[in-house]
Amino acid sequence: MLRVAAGDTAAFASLYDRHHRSVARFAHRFVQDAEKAEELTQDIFVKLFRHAGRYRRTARFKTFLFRVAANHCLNEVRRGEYRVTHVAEQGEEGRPVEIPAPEAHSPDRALEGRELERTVAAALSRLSDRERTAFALCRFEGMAYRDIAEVLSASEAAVKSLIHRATLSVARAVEAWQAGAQPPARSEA
Amino acid sequence: MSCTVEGDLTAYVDGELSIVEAARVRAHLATCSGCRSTEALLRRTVAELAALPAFEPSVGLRRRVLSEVETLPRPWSERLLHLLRPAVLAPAGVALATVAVVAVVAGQRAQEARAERGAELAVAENYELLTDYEVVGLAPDDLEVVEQLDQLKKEGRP
Repeated sequence: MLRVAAGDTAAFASLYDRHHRSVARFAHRFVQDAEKAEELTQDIFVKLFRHAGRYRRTARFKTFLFRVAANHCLNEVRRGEYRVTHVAEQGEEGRPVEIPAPEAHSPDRALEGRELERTVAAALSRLSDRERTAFALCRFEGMAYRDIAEVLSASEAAVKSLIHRATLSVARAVEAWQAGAQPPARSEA
Repeated sequence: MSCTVEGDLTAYVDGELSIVEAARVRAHLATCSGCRSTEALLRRTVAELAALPAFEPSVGLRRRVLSEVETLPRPWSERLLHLLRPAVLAPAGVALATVAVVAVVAGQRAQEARAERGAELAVAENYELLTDYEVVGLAPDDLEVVEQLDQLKKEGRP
């Protein structure tokens, strides 16, 4: 990172190779749209290069990176540059979201995976921006509450509450889908 | 649900509670079927979420990011280091030294010229007087004595 701060583009390329998947995954969970997620990821890495001098060795790099990423996503959504795509749940009318097929051993498992993904995406689009950020960092990036608190400049208690509300909301949506929609999905296969 | 530990259930599932808090939640779960059911739902969901496919960005994104970064202005530290390279520094040093030598020599010459011009000016201003006293054999140094002659007489000096 210190080499990046000195303008070393080769060091930056290496940094990009190591972390771009995490950032893109986070951005995708945030806006629920592949194209927008790539635009956000590009902006985040350019910002990272430009502000590399602000990085202090005392901070964990991943925390610093996601602080930049989360702030950028939250600001862009607040400014109206991006809208969080509302994902329709099964049976609702709406734009289908492009979701990669999960690695599954059978077509019915793949279909089930896509439907679960759609249910989760729909539940995420109903969360507040901060709940979605905390949830994505915890569930998909495996970050500890303490680190998420640093990313969001919040207390650990606030993060615990954000993650609990978000997880419970997603869990209820998944439960409802499993109770109502799963049997037909199985019969289609 | 009105249980006081409900807000701690996700943190409990995530292993984010202290030993004391976790023990309190565990004790409550042993007696509350509602919270046990919520805990089971949370555990199941967390496991399912972990199995979801991850978004994979396109290969073109790397090229776009790196080419945008290449067009950005370099940081001042890098520009300074670039200027301090021997290949830039040596010719710049030689040029600077040459300019300094030329400036010193030119300054000295200008000072000498100014001094010469001053002496010539004094001679020109007193040209008439000098030619008069040269006739009687007085040197230019005696001019001041002659000019002050009346004053010296009054003071009684010889």
